[in-house]
Amino acid sequence: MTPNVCSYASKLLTVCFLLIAASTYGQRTMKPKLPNSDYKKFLKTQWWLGMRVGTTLSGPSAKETFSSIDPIDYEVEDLSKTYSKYKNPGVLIGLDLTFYHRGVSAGIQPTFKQLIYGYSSLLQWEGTTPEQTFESSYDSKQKLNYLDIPFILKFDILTDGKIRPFVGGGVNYAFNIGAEKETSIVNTDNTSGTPRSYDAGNFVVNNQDQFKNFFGMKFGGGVSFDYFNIRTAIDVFYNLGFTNVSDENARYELNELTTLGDVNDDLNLNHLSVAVSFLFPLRYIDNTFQPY
Amino acid sequence: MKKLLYLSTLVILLACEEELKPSDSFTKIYDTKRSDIKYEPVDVVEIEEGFIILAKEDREEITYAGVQLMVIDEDGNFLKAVSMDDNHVLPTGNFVTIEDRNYFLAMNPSSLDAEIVSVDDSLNIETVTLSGIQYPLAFNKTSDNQFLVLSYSLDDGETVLSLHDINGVYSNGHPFTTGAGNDVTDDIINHYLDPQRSGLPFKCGEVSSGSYYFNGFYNFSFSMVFNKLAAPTGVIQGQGTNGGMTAILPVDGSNFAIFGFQFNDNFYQPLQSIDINSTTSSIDYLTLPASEYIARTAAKIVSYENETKYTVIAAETQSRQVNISFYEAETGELKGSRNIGFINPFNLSSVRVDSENNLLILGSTLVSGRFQRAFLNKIHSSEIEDILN
Repeated sequence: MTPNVCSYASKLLTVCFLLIAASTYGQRTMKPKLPNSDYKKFLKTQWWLGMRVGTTLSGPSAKETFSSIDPIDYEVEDLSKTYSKYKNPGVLIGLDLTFYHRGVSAGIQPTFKQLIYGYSSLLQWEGTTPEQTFESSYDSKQKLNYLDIPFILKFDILTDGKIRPFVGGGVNYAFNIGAEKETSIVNTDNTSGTPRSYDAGNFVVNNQDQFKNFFGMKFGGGVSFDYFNIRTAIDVFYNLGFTNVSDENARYELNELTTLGDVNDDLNLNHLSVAVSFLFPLRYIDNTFQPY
Repeated sequence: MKKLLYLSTLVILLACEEELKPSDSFTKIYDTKRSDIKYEPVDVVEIEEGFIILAKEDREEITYAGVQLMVIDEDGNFLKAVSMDDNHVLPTGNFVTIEDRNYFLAMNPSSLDAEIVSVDDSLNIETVTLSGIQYPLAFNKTSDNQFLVLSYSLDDGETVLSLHDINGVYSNGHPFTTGAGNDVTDDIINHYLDPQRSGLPFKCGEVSSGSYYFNGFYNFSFSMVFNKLAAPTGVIQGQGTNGGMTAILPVDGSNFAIFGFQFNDNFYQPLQSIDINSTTSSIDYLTLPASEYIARTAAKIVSYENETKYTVIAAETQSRQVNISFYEAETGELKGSRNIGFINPFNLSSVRVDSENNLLILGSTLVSGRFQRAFLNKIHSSEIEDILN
């Protein structure tokens, strides 16, 4: 993780800790007693607050390809990038505030989310002899940090018992809070008659200005486990990016990678997220409460 | 539940308010597949569709650099290119516009005569040969839309400054001695064939109506010569080809912005009073060497105006970037600066201000560290305001 990521994560963890500590303090001091019918009625509604951690795997979907190099006598498609999808894990960590009522949960999950994807591209030049052939290949890894604000609805498939599978979906808006690109270059020279490759440099660029916020939706499912007066939920969601994450206005602004032809494509940032949530009830009956 | 929904909707709606920002700044590099061709851009001119870039095309088949014209749209995207045949070589700026056509100089490699080449926005090309005007060195237009041509007469061994009308017809001119017995032919040939090592900053232009200057060979040195198409009224003498002026811009009255070189040093003065009716030496203006620039750097000076008038000086830095510095024209005070280029070397060819007050920087860069290609950097006027603040 980069220092930025650590900083965001530590701040979020602090907030999570304070909120959860406050909620558990509340549980120890509130001790109402309810009759049986009211007890069952009480169980139909609940507020949950907790934290979630997990990982992401990004699969960017390029809509249109761009380069700061404009070809005079070859096809622009020759400059297109090849993306590696769902291969670079990122972290996610955040809060989960959920309102539960009769098997349906609605919640928001403000989450720090790191999305990482890679791509490669190749430039080739030819002369009148094979010795004048030259190649430059670029491998880039783009790390994007977002504060993701999703609104999610979940439906319990089983509404009784301690293990409750669920399905759900929702919409999200992700705020771009950081970006960093690392590019390595390998040149292949044929001057001596046989191809010879060599490392031509490695560059790390902060390129947050090249990206913008995005809107999307997500769907997936999971299972929650209700033990020890907390709910532990494991979920897998597929996130569909609806809007372009690349800032078209900043695409051709000069930066360290412009000379390499490297500018962002228009792309939707689809990704998979796998997370585990630890949720604490905000309403309770008494200290002998056996809710399930 | 309702409150939660309201809150979420509010967050999403607020987040959808995107910041609007100018979209017109760009940096584009124009590449060819050929590893045995290199481009040295000369100048850029604005057209209705976008821009035309004039470039020297180094071809293996010909001795002198060929002529290439590229049309670029307003977003910097390459649209089309035309290479003139081998009978037209050595494109020479400035690239000037009169009415709906854009003009530059070239040379016939057989006769060595200068040619005025005109091109319209659709890249339809016409050429007019300037018979008897040999070895074209610099080109400009006057305030009354005549062409000012700086050339070198091989037969007479003289520098020639001449005026031509829009059809290329000679209207006035004057030869200037390079010094008795001083043959500068080799210097000029080397300037053509090896511009990177032996290029010289030939220039010509108008100080005021009927008053002209040229930067070229005069009286044993590479000098800035002020004249009225007659004997010089004033001279800034260089030191052979080892010292002299690189660029000059009349600011107002007797004030000029200048950039010069003295062996491997450079110097500049954004506001320098020069008596164009007297003889001085370029070294007189070297008060402080500008150590940030490479030896014998190309330099361009243009005027830029928003609410204030600025002098923009551009040159190549030791770090192989192009530096653009803005000075307040009235005071000569530095107001802002920017470097262009990363990783690979960036060289300067031309600086222009377009009709929307954006700055255009044309030059070359070495793609993958070895292939010389043209780049065009457009700095939007709003971005210039950021630089100046």
